[in-house]
Amino acid sequence: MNKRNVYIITPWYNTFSGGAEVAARNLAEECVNRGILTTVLTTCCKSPYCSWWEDSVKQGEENVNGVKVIRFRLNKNGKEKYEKTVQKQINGENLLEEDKENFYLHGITSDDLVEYVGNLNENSIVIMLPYFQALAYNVVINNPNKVSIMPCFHDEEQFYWNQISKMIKNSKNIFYLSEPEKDMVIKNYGITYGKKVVEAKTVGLGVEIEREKIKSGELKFEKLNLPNEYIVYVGRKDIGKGVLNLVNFHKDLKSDIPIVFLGGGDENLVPKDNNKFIDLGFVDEDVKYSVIAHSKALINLSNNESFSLVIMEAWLMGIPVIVSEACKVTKYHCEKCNGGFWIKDSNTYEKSIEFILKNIDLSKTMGLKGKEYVEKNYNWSSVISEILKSDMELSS
Amino acid sequence: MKILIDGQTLETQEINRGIGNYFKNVINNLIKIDFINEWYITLSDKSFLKNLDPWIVDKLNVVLSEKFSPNNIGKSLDIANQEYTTQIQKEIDSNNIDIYWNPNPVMQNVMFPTEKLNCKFFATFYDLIPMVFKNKYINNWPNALRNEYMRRLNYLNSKENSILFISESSKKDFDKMIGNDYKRGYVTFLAADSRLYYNPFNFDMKVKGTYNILYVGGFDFRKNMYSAVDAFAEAKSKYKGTIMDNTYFDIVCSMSKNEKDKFEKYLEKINILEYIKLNGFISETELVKKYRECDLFFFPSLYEGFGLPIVEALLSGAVVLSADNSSLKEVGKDNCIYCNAENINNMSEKIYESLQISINEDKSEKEKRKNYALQFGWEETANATLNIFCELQKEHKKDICLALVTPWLPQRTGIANWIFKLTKSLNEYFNIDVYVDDSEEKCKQYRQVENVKIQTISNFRENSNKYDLIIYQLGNNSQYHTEIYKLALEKPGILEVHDYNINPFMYHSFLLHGDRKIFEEAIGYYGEEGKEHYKELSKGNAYPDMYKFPMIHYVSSKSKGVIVHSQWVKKQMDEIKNISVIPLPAFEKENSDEKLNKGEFEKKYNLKESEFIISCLGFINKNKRPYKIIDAINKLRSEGYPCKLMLLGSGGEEENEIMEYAENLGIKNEIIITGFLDDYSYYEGIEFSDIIVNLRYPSMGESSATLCETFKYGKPVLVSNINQYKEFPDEICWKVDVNEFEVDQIYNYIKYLLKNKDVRDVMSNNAKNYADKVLNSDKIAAEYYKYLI
Repeated sequence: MNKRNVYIITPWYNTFSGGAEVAARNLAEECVNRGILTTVLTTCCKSPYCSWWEDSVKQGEENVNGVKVIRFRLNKNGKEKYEKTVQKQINGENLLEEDKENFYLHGITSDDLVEYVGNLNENSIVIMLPYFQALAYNVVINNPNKVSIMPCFHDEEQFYWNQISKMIKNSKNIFYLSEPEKDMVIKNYGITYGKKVVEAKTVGLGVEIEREKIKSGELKFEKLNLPNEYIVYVGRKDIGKGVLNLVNFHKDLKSDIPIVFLGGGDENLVPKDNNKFIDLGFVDEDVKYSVIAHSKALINLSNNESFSLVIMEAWLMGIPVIVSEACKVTKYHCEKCNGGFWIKDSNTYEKSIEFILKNIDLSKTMGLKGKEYVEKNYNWSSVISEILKSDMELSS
Repeated sequence: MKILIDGQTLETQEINRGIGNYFKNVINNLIKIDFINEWYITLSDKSFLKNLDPWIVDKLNVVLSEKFSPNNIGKSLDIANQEYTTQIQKEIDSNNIDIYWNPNPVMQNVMFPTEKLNCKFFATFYDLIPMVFKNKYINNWPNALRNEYMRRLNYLNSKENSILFISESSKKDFDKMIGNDYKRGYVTFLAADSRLYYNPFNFDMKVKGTYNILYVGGFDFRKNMYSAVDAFAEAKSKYKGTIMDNTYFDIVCSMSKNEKDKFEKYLEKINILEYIKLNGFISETELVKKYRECDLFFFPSLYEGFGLPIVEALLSGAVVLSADNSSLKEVGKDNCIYCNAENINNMSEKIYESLQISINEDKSEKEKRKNYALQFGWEETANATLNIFCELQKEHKKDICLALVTPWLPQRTGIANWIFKLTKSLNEYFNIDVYVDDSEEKCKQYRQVENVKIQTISNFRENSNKYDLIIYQLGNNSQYHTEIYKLALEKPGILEVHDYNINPFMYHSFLLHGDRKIFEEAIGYYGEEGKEHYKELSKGNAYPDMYKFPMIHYVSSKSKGVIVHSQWVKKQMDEIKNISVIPLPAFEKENSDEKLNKGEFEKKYNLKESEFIISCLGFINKNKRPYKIIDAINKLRSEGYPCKLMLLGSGGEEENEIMEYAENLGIKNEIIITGFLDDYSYYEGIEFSDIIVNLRYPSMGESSATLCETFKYGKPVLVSNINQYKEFPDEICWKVDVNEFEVDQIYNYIKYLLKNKDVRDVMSNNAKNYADKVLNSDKIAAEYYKYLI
């Protein structure tokens, strides 16, 4: 029954590690691990920081960790039109329908890839992610009812544009990452598209940690010379990720417990020469796991998460989390499993850290609740089964 | 029949182990499928009921006594047993218990009767492990323990008692080692929870490249774990250079640190430590995942009363290599591969062979195993158990003449429709004549049923003496039941009660229009208070107090017997003798092969295919809570849920008010009142609805045929969490509390069901299954026969 080919489409693959790209890579590799014939279709663009209209990676086929990857040439035209829209957005100008259309026609995309999808066998399972880039729009509306989307929708301007409405209309199926994402889509598109958006499934993503990585991380942990007690932030240091708030809250914290930052981004956001802040920058994945595993809690105050792999990883290691009350998705996860606190200001931040430091057993229980939640809901076997099953039901 | 369950197991740690699993699942399912019998359970404290499904707790009569607490064993087992027996005997006598069932007779952490009890005795028997492995168990036990064990076995083996064995093999062992003097021995298999282990989708989610053998067991020597790893080690060494090189042995077993250290040392010694995964205790969800993803499930037990893990593994689709002893071949049949669990060499060869089979087999083999294992379901076990308790009478004579005095099709009443359909099944048991109450509405052509004579009620008086039995159908509609009521008093027979509260009927038929004496007699049943109320009513000083005076009791007390459709109604009529509960059967429309056309239906009501249809069935009145439902629909639509409410029936006087209410909320176009529907259109409405809302408050204690129809059509349904509606299992209908949160609950239930098609599908299957098995009209007709004869 899993003899049908799976195609995963994403603008960047293996050359950049944004949230959606990591999701695409994991999904592809886990499908291959289960013997499912899986091909990734992507562009010749190396990363969002390279030109979207000039190829920066070689066109053609390659094998990445056992996954067949086909790269297609980028469209060379439309840069000005796209940039004009972006500039108007930056300037806070009102966008015309034409501007929005230009955003979705001329952002990063590949007509060759779109055509290739058009020629795929009707039995293929084709999944596009994320919704935000022009590639998604072009692939879906040019191949009506053939491509399913794992959109990773955020509550942002583009989500409300007509282009997204068209994308939903022309998609074969929708795979949500979380219930709040689904609620948002129902609220805005439920009456228009009916059962299609209401019955579409929340499949989430698989989160699994290899034992070997935990073992090897443990061996490297001692060399980091971290204090006995600390909390941890993992991810890009970016105002949009709530890092500025986090730093400010932490400065005001009565406790001296330090916060350890892992990941890239804007180093200037983290105070230097202050014992309460330790920035380790990029570390290997196994080291990341060991740092999380030894922490008292993991903090993620981003207000705009569509899934949050990192809180799931913390839970898998039995560590409680602290998230932003304003982020529907992370708060939802915490509510569902009682695996963490959601905070709104420095006062609630103070209280949650105090609770975690004073109530060691209860904190552990919170972490374990999170672990159970992730193991039950977000293992790759169930995620992939749900995707295959949904597609099969729609095709039958 | 009254059945008393020994509930001690609920108060012990066993409740979370094998016997407890059996106990909970069988009881939950027994009560789910049985409408007719009354269930009692012994306990020392009601709090122990928390281990059962909340829904069934209301249906259990709890017999409380501190003498039923297993803690009493602390004083002395002999004394505790004696006190237990005295108390049980007392309860059996005072509650007129017909059957005592002990689901856990030989564990010595619970008490057991010392004397013969005054009712039929049933016990469930699992295995004879202590006798089979005498040197490991019984020979090493203290005398007192051994004597008590043997006393219980001998008690079971007495000629008055019946035993439910969990396999033929356990029965054979019992017969051989203890004897077969018992009255009757039955085999009712154990079962696995298919909701947990079975997944109809055959996706292979196993990660490729390595191979996994799953072993579930423990350090109990019977589970043979050391030999299992020896066999694995031998297979690895014997088949070097093959798939065995990449094969791991996944052990699921609780273990202490000492046990683990010792075991790991052993694994190191036989050079396989790096290939063994020791999992310790894992959750059920993790276990399911392991069953589904393993290449081979290995079960080399030395003895099993049943062998539940092999059913769980088969249900999950795993290739199973099992020992060939005790009950295992009986359970696994040709769906497992077998080995000799006492021969390491044989096991090692079979491991290799089985792995090869697993890797190369066709996917259809997995399906075959899963389908085979589906027969071991708790519902099946419960059904078999219930049939044994009831010893359903299969043979019957058809020489009994029965008169049905009733409304009849084409009269427009639910009871006419219902009895018309049931008569076809009753026809198998009785020679039936039907007398139609046509005193207020004459009809030229009544619907015919083969071999049933239909005639007018005016002929009944002269013919009544020729019948062995008469059943009067009594409901709340004055147009169709006034003459029936009078005849039920004049020529007493069996009264079938469709509405517990007939006060509105009595008021219209006899106080406003008819013979007031009849009303006066009926209300007089309630003593001075009733008489006083009548006086005030006669003078026009009062409105009828329908809740204080349901008025069904008088006519019931004058009848030879009473049939009601729920335990709740029965409880309201406690003082009435010879009363029995027989549920309403679930019927589907006639000519069920007729193809309904969804497109036409949508066109007729201007519906879109992408919209959800939420429906309410039958004549609409305030009791069906239309305003609450509209509020919930309004909330859902404001959140983007594309749903429409269809009221499939006449809105009567309420219609304008309902539409005005919807208009004020701005959702008039989302509410459809169809008006009275012919059969085709009515069933079409049910068929194309996504969810049915069948609320009632206040309730007249009515039997809801529409509810049973929704089950038959497999529709997810919401009901009010009151009275008779509580008696249906939660898995087929969700219950809405009648309180200030009613709208929120309706909204949340519907929202959840809309968002989760899988849940709707499961509810739908559950409901169909329930309608087919429990509310099956042939089965229910047999219950009429049993009760009437």
